[in-house]
Amino acid sequence: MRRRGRAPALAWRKWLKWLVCLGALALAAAAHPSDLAVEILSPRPEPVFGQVLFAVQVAGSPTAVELRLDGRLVATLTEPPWRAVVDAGDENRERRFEALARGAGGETATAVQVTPRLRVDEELSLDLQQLFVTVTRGGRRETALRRSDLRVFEDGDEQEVVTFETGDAPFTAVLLLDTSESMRGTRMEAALRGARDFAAGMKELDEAMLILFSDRVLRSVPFTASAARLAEGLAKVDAGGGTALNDHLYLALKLLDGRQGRRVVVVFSDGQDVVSGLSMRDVLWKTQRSQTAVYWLRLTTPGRTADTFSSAWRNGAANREEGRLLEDAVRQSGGRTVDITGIGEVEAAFRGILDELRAQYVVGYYPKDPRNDGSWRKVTVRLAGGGEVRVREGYVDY
Amino acid sequence: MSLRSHLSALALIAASLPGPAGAQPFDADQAAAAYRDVLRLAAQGSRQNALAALAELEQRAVARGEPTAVDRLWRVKLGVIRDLAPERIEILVPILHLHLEACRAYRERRLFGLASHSRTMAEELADAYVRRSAAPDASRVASLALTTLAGQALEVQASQSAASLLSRALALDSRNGEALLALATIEEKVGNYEAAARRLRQLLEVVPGHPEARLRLALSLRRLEQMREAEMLLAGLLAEETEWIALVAAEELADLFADHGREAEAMAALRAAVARFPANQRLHVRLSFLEERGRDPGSALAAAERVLTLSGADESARLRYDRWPRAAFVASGAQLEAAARERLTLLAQALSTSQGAVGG
Repeated sequence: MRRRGRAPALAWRKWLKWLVCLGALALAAAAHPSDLAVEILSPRPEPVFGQVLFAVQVAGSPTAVELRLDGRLVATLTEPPWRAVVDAGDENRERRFEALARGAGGETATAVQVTPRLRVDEELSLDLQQLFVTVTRGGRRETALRRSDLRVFEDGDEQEVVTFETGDAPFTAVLLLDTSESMRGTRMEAALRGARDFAAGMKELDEAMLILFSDRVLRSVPFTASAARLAEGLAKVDAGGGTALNDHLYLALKLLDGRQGRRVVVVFSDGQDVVSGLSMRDVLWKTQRSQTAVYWLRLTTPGRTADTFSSAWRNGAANREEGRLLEDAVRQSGGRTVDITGIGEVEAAFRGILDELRAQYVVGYYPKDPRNDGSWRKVTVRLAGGGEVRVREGYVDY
Repeated sequence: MSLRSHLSALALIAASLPGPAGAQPFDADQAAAAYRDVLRLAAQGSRQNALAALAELEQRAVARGEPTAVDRLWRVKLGVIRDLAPERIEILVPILHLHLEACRAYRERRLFGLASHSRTMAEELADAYVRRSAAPDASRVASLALTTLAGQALEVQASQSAASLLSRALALDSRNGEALLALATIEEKVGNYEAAARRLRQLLEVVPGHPEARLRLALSLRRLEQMREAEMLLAGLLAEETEWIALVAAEELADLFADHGREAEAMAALRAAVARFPANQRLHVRLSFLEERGRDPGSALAAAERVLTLSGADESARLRYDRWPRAAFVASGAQLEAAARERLTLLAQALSTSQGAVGG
């Protein structure tokens, strides 16, 4: 984490030409101005939250030390001690601490410390239940509610709302795109355009992962806030193979367990699973234990429904049941199914989901009566003044 | 489709096509001579040329636009064959093989009317051959022809038609292993697990230890709740050399254990499979889910994250399982071709001695 500073070489040549007649002391001083160095003492490379001591050690004679957190200037220090308390926020995510020391001659030295996110397997049991609430009135989304307008009930018992954020709260998404043989051609192209639009519409603190799947993961891009990085992953996709939607929807839900805050899976698929090892009942089981909303962009084909195809793994009747369970999983998660009847609707559907996320409320509460017994806890949200509320239907308390 | 309805359909196709300007009316003698030339090329072992000449003859007949032209062509061909065959019924084998290959070629060119015409011709010849031949392998050869035709039907997703052909193939030769495997696969796909299991048991009597038959039988038995035998079969396939079979067996065995509350055994089966196939994505997905069910979310997440580091270049074992048994059809086709080749000399002799009587 230690970086030595450098003065511009061209400037030094000029100095040497002009000052050749000066004494050895002055020349030596000019030849070694880059003794400036900086090292971050705190934080260490461990997960951090809230108020954090940002402390550095500086060698040489700095005129100023700038401290940045995730690219944002949080302190400028002109004299020791080189330290400041900064607010890192409460989100579980990777953070970048950067220190830059400036010398009198224009030279600089920098140091960087990246603190990782807390992995879910390291977390203590935080019982905070988060609800992503979509409210519509007269067919239009309601975006001007206050905390007191929403009341949360668990098994009929009112809960105390402890966090209330509007749709600007960042989200973490998995874009799960079916790139199996049946998607080849214009369907695939439309899906890629829609996903690119979605990525381009993300805000600074939003993150997304991309998974292109068929009967296996064909390509993935890890969680990133960079639309450009996601767009790279969407280039030159060669569709092929069968569809294993269940397996990959489970995978997406599980990968989001490692993240905090608002979590969503956006699935683009005709939903006709051919070869998954996991059943949709398995995926529903996982959905009920996840705080992730699932949005399904369902590409429909006239005359082709879940029970009109069969594979060696499931016959028509079993496929019909799988389709019904997928709809259940989506509804219970608080997401929704968007039927797409023509490829011209695909991009608008992706944009619609992004708009919906922006208009959501993120409401948190600590259940009054946690049981950890595997029971289903029914959640309802009541709205002052009427209107329609969509939110996940409950969760398994375990 | 019966021969009569088939001919009617072809006549309709012919009638719907505009006749080329200046097209000559159908000339039976000319058509018979052309068909003899086709057979002569086939007898010389020049199959591609024979197919090209046959296509030219049949397309020309269809393009005439005369409703009866195809019907008359059919009669001409049967007349030529009748003229050649009486003393040499074995020549039907290379002729039916030729028409079977023509059927494939027409399908590839999306000439479905002519493909259907060729298919019916091959079926009729197979039936005629098995009725009249005294050769010890006549039933087997006819059965192979029907199995090969079934393979062609499955390539265009005509599974009912394929099932019918395979049933007829098995009626001729109940030890046709390729037909047994293919029919069991069709039965499995439509959910007739008892019928599938019955066919697979027959296959295992013909080819003891057949790995794919054991795997498919295990899965059908699992669906029929016959767990003990299913478990035994799956456990016996874990060390199978063919990768996709071992992978499916491991996954299904783990699933069977998990369904019956035997989580530790399920985990052991999957971990053993992961040790053998560490780069297989699907095994890690299954492992992640089992860990999740076992309330070890950290290990489940690690397994899920591992999936994204592994290549998805190859199709999954489960997709391979879902495919039609193409290798079985290739094997049938190869055996039939060998039988046809053995009889080419007879066809050549017949052509050189026959006087060229014409029907129609």
